[in-house]
Formats: sequence, C-alpha cells, structure tokens
Amino acid sequence: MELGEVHGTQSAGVKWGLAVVATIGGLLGIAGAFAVYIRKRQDLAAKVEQPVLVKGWFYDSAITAFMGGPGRKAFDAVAWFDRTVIDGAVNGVATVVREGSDKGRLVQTGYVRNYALGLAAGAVVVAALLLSKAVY
Amino acid sequence: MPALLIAAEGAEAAYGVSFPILSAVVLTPVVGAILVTVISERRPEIVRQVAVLFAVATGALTIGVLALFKTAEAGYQLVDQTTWIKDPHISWALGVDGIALWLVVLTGILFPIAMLGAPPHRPDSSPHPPHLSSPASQDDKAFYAWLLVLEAGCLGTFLAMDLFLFFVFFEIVLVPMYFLISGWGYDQRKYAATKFFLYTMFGSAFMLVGTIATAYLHAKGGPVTFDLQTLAEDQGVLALSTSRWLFLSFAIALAVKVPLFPLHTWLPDAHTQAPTAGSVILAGVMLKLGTYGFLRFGLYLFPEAAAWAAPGMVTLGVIGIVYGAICAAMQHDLKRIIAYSSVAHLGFIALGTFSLTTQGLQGGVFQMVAHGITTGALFLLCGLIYERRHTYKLADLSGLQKPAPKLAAVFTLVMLASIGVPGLNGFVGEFVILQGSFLTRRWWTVVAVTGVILAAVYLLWAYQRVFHGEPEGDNAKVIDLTFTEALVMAPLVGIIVFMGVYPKPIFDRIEPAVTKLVAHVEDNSDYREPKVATEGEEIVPRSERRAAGERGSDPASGLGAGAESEGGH
Repeated sequence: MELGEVHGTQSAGVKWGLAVVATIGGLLGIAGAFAVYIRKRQDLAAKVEQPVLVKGWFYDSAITAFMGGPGRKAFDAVAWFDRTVIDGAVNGVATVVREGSDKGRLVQTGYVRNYALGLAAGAVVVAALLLSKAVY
Repeated sequence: MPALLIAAEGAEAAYGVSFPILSAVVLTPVVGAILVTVISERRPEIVRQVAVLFAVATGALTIGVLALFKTAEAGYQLVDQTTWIKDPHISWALGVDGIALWLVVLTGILFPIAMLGAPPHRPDSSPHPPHLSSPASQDDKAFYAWLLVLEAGCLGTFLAMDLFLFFVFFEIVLVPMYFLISGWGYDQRKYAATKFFLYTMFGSAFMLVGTIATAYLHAKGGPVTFDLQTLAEDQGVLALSTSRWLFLSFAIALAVKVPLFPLHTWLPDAHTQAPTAGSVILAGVMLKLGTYGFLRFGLYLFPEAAAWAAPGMVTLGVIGIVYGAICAAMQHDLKRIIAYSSVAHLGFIALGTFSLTTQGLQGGVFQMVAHGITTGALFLLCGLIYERRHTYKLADLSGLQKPAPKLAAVFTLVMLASIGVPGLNGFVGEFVILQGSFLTRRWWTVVAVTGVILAAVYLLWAYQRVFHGEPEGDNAKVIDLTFTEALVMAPLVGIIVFMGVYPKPIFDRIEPAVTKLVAHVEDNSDYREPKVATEGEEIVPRSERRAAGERGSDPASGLGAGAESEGGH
C-alpha cells in the first residue's frame, strides 16, 4: 500500500448497501423534480421543499431538540449513575464499616461481668467440643 | 543556569564524581519545608518568600536536569545510587529518562506557580482582596511546608529506580495532600480529605503486597533486591500467571491514582474541596503519578502482563473519556467540571499507554505534561474567580467577560488548549495518542474521538454560562486580572502555546525511552507493534513495486497488520 493513502476495504455488502441508498436518493430526487416541473405541482415545492431548505434541512433544530430533550436526559442519567451507583458504592462501604463498628462497640461495655460471661460461654464451647471428641 | 552547569561539570572534572543533581532536586524542597517550619513566629511575612524561594530553586534544578539530559539516550541518566538497606537490597536510587524528564520539569515549574498564584484562602478577607498581597498568618507556615513536602514526594516518585523507594514516595505524597485539603479546603473538606486518603490507601495496599511479592518471588530464595532495572530486565523468572497477578496488584493502586473508571469518585470531591494550590498540584502533578506508574511498573516491569491486560485497560480508558466528559457536562460547579474533565483527559493517556505503540506512548507522556499545564492553569483561574466572587456555582456566575476581559481572554486560551484546538498543547497530545491507538485499537479510537467533541461541549458551555451575558450585582463589580496575577499566568500560557506550536524538543527527548520500552514489551511478549514507515523510508507506489516483481504486495498489508493484532488479543 502506498503510504499516506488508505484504501478502505469494505465488504461487498457495505458497498452494495451504500449503492442502493444512493440510487434511492437519486430516484427520489428525480421523482420530486418530475412532480414539480413536469406535473407543475408548485404547491408541493412551497409546502415541502422550501421550508426544509429555509430551515437548513432541520439540522440545527434537530440537534437542539435532541440536546434539550432526550440527550440532556441521557446525560443527566449518566451523572445520576455516577453520583448514586459508583460513588454510592464507595460511600456505602464507608457507611457499612461505620455502622458495623458502632454496633461492635456495644460489646465493649466495660463491665467485668459481661466479659466474664463471654469467657464462660467460650469455656462451655471448648468443653463441649472436647466432650464430643471424647464421646465419638 | 549556565553557572549551575559549569559548577556541575566542574565538580565532575575535579573530583571524578558528578554533582548528585537528582538527590538535590528531591531534597531541596525538604530542606525548604524544614526551614519554613522553624521561621520565627514574629516574622510571618517571610514564610511565603522562603517557600517560594525553595520552590524556585527546585524548579531551577529541574531545568538543570533538562540541560544535562542527553537527548538521544534511552536509558536512565544522571543516576544517583546509594545503598540504603543491605538485605533485602534497597537503595536510594534516582535516575531520569525521557519518560520521567518532562514530568520532573513539570513538577518543578508548577509548584512555584501554584504557591505564587494561590495563597491559602482566608474566608474572613475582604470581598475584593488584592489577591497576591493578602496578609500572612501563622497558618501559612504549615501550608507552605506541606506543599514543599508534597513537591519532594512527587519528584521522588518520578525519579525512583527502586520499587521500595517508589512505594515510599508514592505513599508520602498522600500525607501532605490530606492536610492541605482538610486544613485549607472548602466546606466539605474533611469528607473529601478522608475519602481521598482512604481510597488511595486502599489501592496502595495492593501495591505494597505486589512490591514485596515481586521482589521475593523474583529472588527465588537468593538475595532479594528491589532494584527496578534488575527486576524488569530479568524477565522469565516469574511464571506467567504470577506476573499477571502481580501486574494487577500494581494496576489497582495505579488505577485509583490515575483515576480510571470506576475508581474515580474520590477525584471530583478532592479537587473541588482542595484549596486552589492543592487542586493545581492534584490535577497537574499527582494524577500523573498513576499514569507514570503504569509505564514503569506496568509496561516495564510486567511487559507480558501489560500486553495481556491491554484490551481491558484501553476499554477502561475509553469509558473514562466518554463517561468523564458526560459527567463534566452535567455539573453545576465550575471546579467540578474541570475535575471531571481530568477523568476524560487521563482516559486518553491510558488509551495511549496501553495502545502499546510508540506514538501512543509518546502522545501519552506528552499529554501528561500538557494536561498538567492546562488543568493547572484552569484551576488557578478558577481560584482567581473564587477570590472575586466567593463561589464556584455556575448559577451565581455570569457575564464576567464584561468587567474582566483579560481574565476572560486567558481563560479562553487555556480552555481551548484543554479542548484540544490545533496550535495549543492539548491537540498535539491527543492527536499523537489517537494516531498511535488507531494502529492497534481502531474501534476504541473511534469512540475516543467523541471525547474531543464532548470536551468542547462541556467547556464552551461552562464558559458561556460564566463569562457571557449581562453581568448583574457582584458579577458586574469583578476586578480584572491584576498585573501580578498576569505575571503568574504568563509562563503557563507561554508553555501552552510553545508546546502546541513546536513540540519537537519535547518529543525528541521522550522518543528514545519510549521506543526502548515498546521494544522491551515486544521482546517479552507475543505482542508486535504494527509496522509503519519511519522517516526517510522510501515510498514506492504499488504499481512500481508490482513492476519490480515484488510478490505478495497486498494492498491492505498496513491495515492488515493493525487488524491482526486487534484480533490477536
């Protein structure tokens, strides 16, 4: 391949597809011209052709309509997703840790009797394990 | 500067030892930080002078590094190595190559500018303070000392040639930034500072494990070393799956720092809540610790794993480009817009880096520097607007162009650079990145290009809302850019234009190191860079080649090479 030159190698399907689109476009143009100039349908030109061309194929207004409506909504949805889901997950982890440790702190009562109860419960479990091993 | 060079060369000639300029670069801000903290409480007015003096001295030293740097050499230069711990072998090893060089210079330039352009904000100051001459307070000592420590940490990270040393510097950086945000930030500073610190620490935990595991697994029971070059050049010691896991452990830490989607949410909060100088450094320098790390500890240390992970990393980068830009467009706060724009811009750098092509990497390194300058300048300008209006809310700002035309002009230029308009630095970086990534990742590149358009959408829209329209109330009374403020902005504007018009000196120094790195990846993995003609290669038309009897001159050979590697991953 020559440098500086890029030969797109489209598949036959793409080529034919584009050819069909172009041909249909051409035929529609011919049909429109036939209607306006041969059949003398000037009203058609006034109703369809002129407004479209005056508005520049509705190009600008289509973009405005999209960005003002669905485009903006989609962008807002992404920003919402970032705030709520992505950042929410981060803050969620922080909340779980904070509340978990808040609950965990309750175990530390400072009363000897509570700790003794814990120790006793542990001793019972150990004894039970030893007993079960001895029995079976 | 010539005096410094002569002194350095003189020392080398006289004593046979070279002046350890890289250690001087890292340690000068540390000395400055210590001096600033011991300044007498009766002399608060000299705090800023001393701090700026040391930052300028460090900047001058980085320019000295640039002057001593040998353009055509690919490896580490000006190496300064002293054993720190014998066993395991950890050394104070600093070196600079084409990848680190410009980041070091960027750091050297940006710190004094941040200090001069953005003194700590004081809420009790008058509504229209003479910005650069506001009275000093005791608090300033800590502010400037932390900034200098931060500078030392950033420079050390870029220069470290030892895994352990890198990790130490990479972590040290968090501490001053935490205090800068929590001490001098805005309303939600505590939340933002804690989030920033914990989030980055979470990532770094993986990297600590990765660092230790890499060194010890590599040793195979022999002497353990953390020396980056030894570990990176001696590939094939670690099993394939091991090195991939190790790569991932580094990648998590670095991805948080960059930040890559979806690990980016600490960034908008930290950038928005940080004082202006903090935002400038965060966006300008600290984000690059991550992208720089990917080049060093991704591509260099684990080349095979980097090639293996490239499709995933490129995808995250491209998601970041589009996603960051869309989020930026929907923000209601000027600082948050620029914060999210960083997510998008850093996505470009990730795309370039993991395209694994020479151009992609070159563009990535260039873009790191370009983004540092432009985003740093944008945050400085935001700070100037805040000093005048005490708000970042877009709803409260309008029509500033009328009372402050010079401010608007500078903002326009910097904004256009950020969008990537030809002639300014943002364009060069993005163009070279896209050129490189197109060779290996065509469809990703196509999607990434939309990021350029979206950048224009959110920045022009922001500009329109802040600067256009009829100013009312306080907006009409905004004072224009003062002479001192213009002096602070001037170097940044100059660099933006210079990098955009004549990027050659920058690329000349990046290229050898990047070429070597890509060759290193090729040597140690199945990846092969698609061949493109280099300068001076003769271009022969296909018809003539056919006539000369050349066989197999497939018309799509160039494209095929790209497509092959695209499908290969």
